[in-house]
Amino acid sequence: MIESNMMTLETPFYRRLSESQLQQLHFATLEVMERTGIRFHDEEAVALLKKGGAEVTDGNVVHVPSWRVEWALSISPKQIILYDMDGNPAIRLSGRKSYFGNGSDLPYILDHRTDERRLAVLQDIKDLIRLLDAIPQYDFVMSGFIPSDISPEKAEHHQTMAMLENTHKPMVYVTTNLPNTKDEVEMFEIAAGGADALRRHPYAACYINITHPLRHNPDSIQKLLFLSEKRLPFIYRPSIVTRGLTTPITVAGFLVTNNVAALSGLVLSQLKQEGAPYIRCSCPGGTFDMKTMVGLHSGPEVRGFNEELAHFYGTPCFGLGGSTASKVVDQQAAMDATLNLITSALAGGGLIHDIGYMASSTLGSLIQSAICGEMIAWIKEYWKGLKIDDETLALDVIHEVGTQGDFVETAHSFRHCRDDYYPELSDQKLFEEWINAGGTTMKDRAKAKVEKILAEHQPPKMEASVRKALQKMIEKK
Amino acid sequence: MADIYEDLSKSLITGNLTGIKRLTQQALDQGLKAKDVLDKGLLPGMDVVGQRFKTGEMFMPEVIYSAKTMHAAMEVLKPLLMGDDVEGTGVLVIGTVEGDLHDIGKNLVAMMMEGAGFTVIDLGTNVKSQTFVDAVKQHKPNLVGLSALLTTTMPKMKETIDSLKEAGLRDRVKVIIGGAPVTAEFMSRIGADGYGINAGAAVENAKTLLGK
Repeated sequence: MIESNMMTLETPFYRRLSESQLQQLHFATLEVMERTGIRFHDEEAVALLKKGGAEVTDGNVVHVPSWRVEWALSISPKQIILYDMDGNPAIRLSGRKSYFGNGSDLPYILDHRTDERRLAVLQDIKDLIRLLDAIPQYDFVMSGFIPSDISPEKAEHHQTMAMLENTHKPMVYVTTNLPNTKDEVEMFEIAAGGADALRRHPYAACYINITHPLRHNPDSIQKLLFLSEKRLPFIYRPSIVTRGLTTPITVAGFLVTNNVAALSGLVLSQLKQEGAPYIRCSCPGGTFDMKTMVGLHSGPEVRGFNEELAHFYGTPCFGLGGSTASKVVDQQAAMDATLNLITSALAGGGLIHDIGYMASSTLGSLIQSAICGEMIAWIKEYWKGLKIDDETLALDVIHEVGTQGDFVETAHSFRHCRDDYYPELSDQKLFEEWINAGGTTMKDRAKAKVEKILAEHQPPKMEASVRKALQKMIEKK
Repeated sequence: MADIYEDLSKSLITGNLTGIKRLTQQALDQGLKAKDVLDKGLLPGMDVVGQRFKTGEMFMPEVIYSAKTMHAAMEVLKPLLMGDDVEGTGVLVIGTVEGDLHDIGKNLVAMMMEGAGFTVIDLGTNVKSQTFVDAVKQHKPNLVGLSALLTTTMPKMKETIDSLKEAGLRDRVKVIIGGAPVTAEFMSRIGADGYGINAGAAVENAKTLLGK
């Protein structure tokens, strides 16, 4: 049988903005970049941008011309590949793909053993990374917690060591300043087998936060310049939770201001190094609760729009999902995380991070991380398209079974009964069976999974020579 | 007479920035003393704002607008207030510590403290310890506010407090600290007197520390 004009939808189709709306936001952005400009608190940056055609006022306010923006967009990479530590391409950051990972630097942990909230320590980081290594739904890792038992000057080195020791999955790392960034890169180079090896098969991307979208702070700019020159991937984030504070409170104004910062960072990176692997931060959320003065990422507003901008430009995307404002692993935690994880995946959030984040980015829980893994499994199942062919239409089977028979006995059902999704943590038993099996809650079962993984899972072993070199390097600092 | 005090309070609560100066002038034209206009008309209005912010009934931009309205009223009253009337509830020197450029929280606190009747000297961001010491010598505040958002700049708070001790000024001021990573435990550890978990709490704690 042949038929022309057959088209199929492989995966859910989702749009939140039309081409014309995106054009409007784009031109509004260009206008702000030329008219208002962006303040760069760094001499090298201002000089580069000036040489690149920008007018400079008030010493360091850069007015970027539109043609320079178009140039930067045309030469910056549209696909960035993150490898695992064994040199295999693991993440192809392009288009509307979604990859899933946790977040970094949470100060508190909800201890799964005691159900109590306490300051996190280095061991918590090691446990979390090992857990995420064992759960296939997580594609990349971040440091998870701030180790309160390590002095601040060494904290990042130990966080990185904990990541390197407990997984080979790609990682996103965060640093406070340029010297620490250089240290981290040195560590990654040691583990990769040299600077060239890391550059060829990068497994780590640096997540740079700037204090304000229209005035970029020195540390962040310097990290961008350093990593651009090294041609190592990084994310440049225009402002964490600030709609109404550092951007207009209305969503369109927020998007434009974010976009101004993102594009000016992109221009700078490409002027420093053509083709520098710039990942655009297109996080949803960014709301500031005007009652409690807490930054939020979990709500329904601003979801999908920022990601659409990334896709409009074709720039690789860093998103956010699976987080909650809840302080306990309860119904709010599940609801928040599920809703914003699905919407992030639909929007094509790229590197979707902060999965498992609680209490508005202050609290983590291995139990919540395990439950989020289950959500991702559900989502991936939902993403499967409909296969329509003779086998699946099963017209002959329908005819054979006819109006009197049963399908469960057929060879067809035998062949396909394992195609379906059977969740690992969600319980689907009948009531009495569930009681007999212990009457457990989702939290109970997730806890059991965490305990099992921590007791049994062996992450890929680090070579002794690498460990030695890394420890020597940390001690010297 | 009582009516105009109520109108003034209401104007603050609703954030009537366009009408407040005229209303304040009207009160003065009626023969009311500037100090009474402040104490009986304006400060009660800001108290209500503070209360409503605490319960979540008022939102931050609304509080800020009320504070701006208060500021506008004060512009009319200031030339008429005597000596310590001008100081009002107290004098605050505030700034973000060295190495930190974050200022939104600090700006909020400054605005709300002004609304509560404080005279505020805002040193800005990235303020060295010595600059704080110099400001205390110059302005003789009863309160010093230190802000930091980065965990890496928190040690600068301790340094500032130590610098005040060295200069023999520590006993003359109450030090309050604030910023997302700041905790009560950190406050005790570095020898500060109080800390604000948010701008509203900062104002309350400040007043309590000064016995108001």
